[in-house]
Amino acid sequence: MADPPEDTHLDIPQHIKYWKRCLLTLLPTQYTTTDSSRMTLAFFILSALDLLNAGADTFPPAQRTSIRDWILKCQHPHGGFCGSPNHRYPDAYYEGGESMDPANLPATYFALLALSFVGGLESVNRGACLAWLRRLQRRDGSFGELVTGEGKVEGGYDMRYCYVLANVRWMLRGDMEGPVGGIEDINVESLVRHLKAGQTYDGGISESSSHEAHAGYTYCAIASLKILNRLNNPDTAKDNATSSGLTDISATIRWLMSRQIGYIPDEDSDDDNDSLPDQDNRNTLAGIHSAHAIPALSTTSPEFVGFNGRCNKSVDTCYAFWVTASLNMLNPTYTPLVNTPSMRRFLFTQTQHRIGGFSKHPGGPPDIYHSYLGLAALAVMKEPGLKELDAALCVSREQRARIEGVRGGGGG
Amino acid sequence: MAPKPSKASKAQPKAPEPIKEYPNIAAFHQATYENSRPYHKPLASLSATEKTHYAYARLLETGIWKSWDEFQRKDFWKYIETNKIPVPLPEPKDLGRDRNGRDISKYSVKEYEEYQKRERGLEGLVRESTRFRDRQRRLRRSGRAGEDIEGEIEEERNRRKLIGVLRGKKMGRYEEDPEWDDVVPIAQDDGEGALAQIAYTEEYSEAMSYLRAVMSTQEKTPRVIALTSHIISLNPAHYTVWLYRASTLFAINFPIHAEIEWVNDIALDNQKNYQIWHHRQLLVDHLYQEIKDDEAKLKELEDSERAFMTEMFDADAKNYHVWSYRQYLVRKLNLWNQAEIESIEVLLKKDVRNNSAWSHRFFVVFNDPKHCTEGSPATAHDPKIPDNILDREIEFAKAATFEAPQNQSPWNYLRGVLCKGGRDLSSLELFAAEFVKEGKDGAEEDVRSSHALDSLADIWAKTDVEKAKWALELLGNKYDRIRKGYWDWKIGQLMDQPVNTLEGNLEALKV
Ligand SMILES: [Zn+2]
Repeated sequence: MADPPEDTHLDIPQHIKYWKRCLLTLLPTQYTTTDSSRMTLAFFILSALDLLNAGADTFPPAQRTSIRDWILKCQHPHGGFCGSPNHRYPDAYYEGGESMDPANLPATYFALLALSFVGGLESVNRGACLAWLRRLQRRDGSFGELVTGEGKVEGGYDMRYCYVLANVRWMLRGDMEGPVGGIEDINVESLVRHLKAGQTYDGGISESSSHEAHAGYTYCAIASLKILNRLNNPDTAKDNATSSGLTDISATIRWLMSRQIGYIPDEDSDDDNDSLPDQDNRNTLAGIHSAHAIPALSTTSPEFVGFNGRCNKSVDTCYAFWVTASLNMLNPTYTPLVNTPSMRRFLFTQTQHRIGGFSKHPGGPPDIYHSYLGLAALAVMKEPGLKELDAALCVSREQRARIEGVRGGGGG
Repeated sequence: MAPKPSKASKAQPKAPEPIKEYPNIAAFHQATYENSRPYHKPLASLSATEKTHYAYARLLETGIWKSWDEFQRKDFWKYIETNKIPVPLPEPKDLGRDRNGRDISKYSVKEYEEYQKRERGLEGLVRESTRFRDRQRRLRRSGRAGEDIEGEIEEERNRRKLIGVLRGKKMGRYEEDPEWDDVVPIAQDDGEGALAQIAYTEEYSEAMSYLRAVMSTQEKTPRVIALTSHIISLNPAHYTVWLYRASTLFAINFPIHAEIEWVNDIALDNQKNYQIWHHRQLLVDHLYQEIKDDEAKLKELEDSERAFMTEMFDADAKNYHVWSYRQYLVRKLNLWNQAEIESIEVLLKKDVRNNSAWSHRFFVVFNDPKHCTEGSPATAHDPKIPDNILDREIEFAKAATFEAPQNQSPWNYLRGVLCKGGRDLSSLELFAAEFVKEGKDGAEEDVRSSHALDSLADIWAKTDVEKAKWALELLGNKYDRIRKGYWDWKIGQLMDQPVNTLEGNLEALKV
């Protein structure tokens, strides 16, 4: 458990050090389970450094070129990208038209974003990629993560695929609907219907309306609508109210606000769920997860506010992002509804790590995923020293503008 | 004809006895070297005979005698043998380091002898192993692959183990196994500039390079099952491995029950893994086709699946993947039954705050084709649902709320049920008021649930704005101060005030 805070701030030099280490040195063997998604890690590394004002534009040109070459090397010859060189065969293997290990949708999203940090998208096989996106869509409007050699869409039902799809489409088509370069668009209407159908009885969003609401899926659905220009916003949304926006926006706001959890550090234990020395005190705390203690109502104001991803779950750094970014997209004036001072205190003193980066839970080791989303959450809340974030794309606004400049297609 | 070298070696000086006065092999080699050159001293110190011997030794060393005619050579060698002139040895070279990085010149004489013996043995084994591979390749080419010349493969397997021992480094699992000799592994090519490089173990790298190879030829055989098991044990999040395994299983008609057993263990060890559950779905889809007309077998599957999920929930009762899978299973096996609802109630008895269980209950109750409109989303009124079911669900949630008033799950559930039934939230007013007692005559109010206050605020917003405001103020200032910004915003909406008063409210919030 971290010591009580003396000095609560974002330790920018330590974070830069952390990300430079991730950039330049081998990740430890435990990262083997992320071997299929190295492109995701690559994006987090480049984008985190960008948020910290130490991005790829400060790298030596040769380094930028070799990073760019590596990303392009993961491009699948039939469109889209592979998540790591371990999925990509030498060129000769594809000559007979075999798809070998097929391209992956999230990998494609992360590869395009990563590329935008070290150059343009001109070497992306745009036509093949757009055609491939169409093959990933299911009849119900949802998307899978890959298409097998037999043409089967694989990857389960997962709002994340819709989100990355919307982004890839935006990066490669611009805001154009209808055919681009002779390639038909995906079925946007059925995708929007699918996204809207994800709202659950408690106001959150899940992979479908019958599943448990989850902050990550809630973010993905809202961000997808945002990128597709279909969120309830009188200025930009389509006129047809029935095809746009969320089903019940005030219920979604209520659900998002409920994700804030008063967090009181446990002095004697590294485990914030069990074996509490002071059970009575524990019982008085509102909304802290414990399988055994049922918290009663409390009138004390907690020093720290963390976020959970589902009702009655424990706090986790990444949900600070999924929740605040969702609110921000619904309406930027909703972001300050969050208890920002306590949230910052939680991130700075409970999950920010001495060596830089953020951990998932207080007291844990930092990891790339939570280190990025911790920064992203703070950037949504306009943390001084960080570039401001575009909540939907999850990169700095500056980077979004750069992508708009290089994406070509039908875009502005 | 040149004299045989063996003849020459007879003329060699006796090597100094390898006794312990030589501290190591380098010293021994040095001594042998010096002993082979007894005349390599200042010329002046040599006798006339010694000088002649020296000249012969030089001729030996330069090898010039090889260009002479036979007669001359015979004479030359006769002289050398008669006078026992040693053949000058070349200066000892650095022996380098062994596989453990130890300096070989520091070996004792005995150690070095053993070392050489081992190296010779190793060379022999490697030669034999190469011959084996060549033979097998020829067999494969002539279409006689898999023909095992009695025990040869087992013998080769042992040979490779031994080679590994002698090299001090075990061969990779697949390199060592003759059964995999027909596969040419495809190594990962990372190239320069690679990001997020991982310190893979050699074991993982090797296994992956064999997977790439079998996928490239679309091999679907039992050994592919073994290979994918191995990779999954090292990286259970590798989605291609799972997909390829599934297509292999179905291609070779692998027994599904055995696969489910195997996957159970993997799931218990990898609680956070998603791929396992997708895989399980593929298995059940496949199995279902086989048994869909067999009531008893379907019931057996239902029971065993439920038992396994219970085991998973013992470790984490909120495991998202398991709950998603469970919804799939309910639809697939038509589990809109009492056993399903009871199984959820058991979990809620253990932890009434288990929101996943609440959510699943909502799914089971409000998607049951017996009394629900097909495809009606969770957020829509479904007029088909009978009142007795709505009442039952409302009572169930109310009872749970009494047990733990500050538990948000049943409060959300209540709102959901009312919406499904097309009933108004105001029907909850009396119930919610149980947890919110207004203080009479200036006495302090008694509030036991912020969620009750929240519900009342929503109810009163339509009937009594002042009371609604009172509830929201209590929330923001006293009972739910974490969300003060939100409650103040709600007041603003209630009072139809512009949202920008918010900044002021936030100032008050800062600690
Ligand atoms: Zn997390």
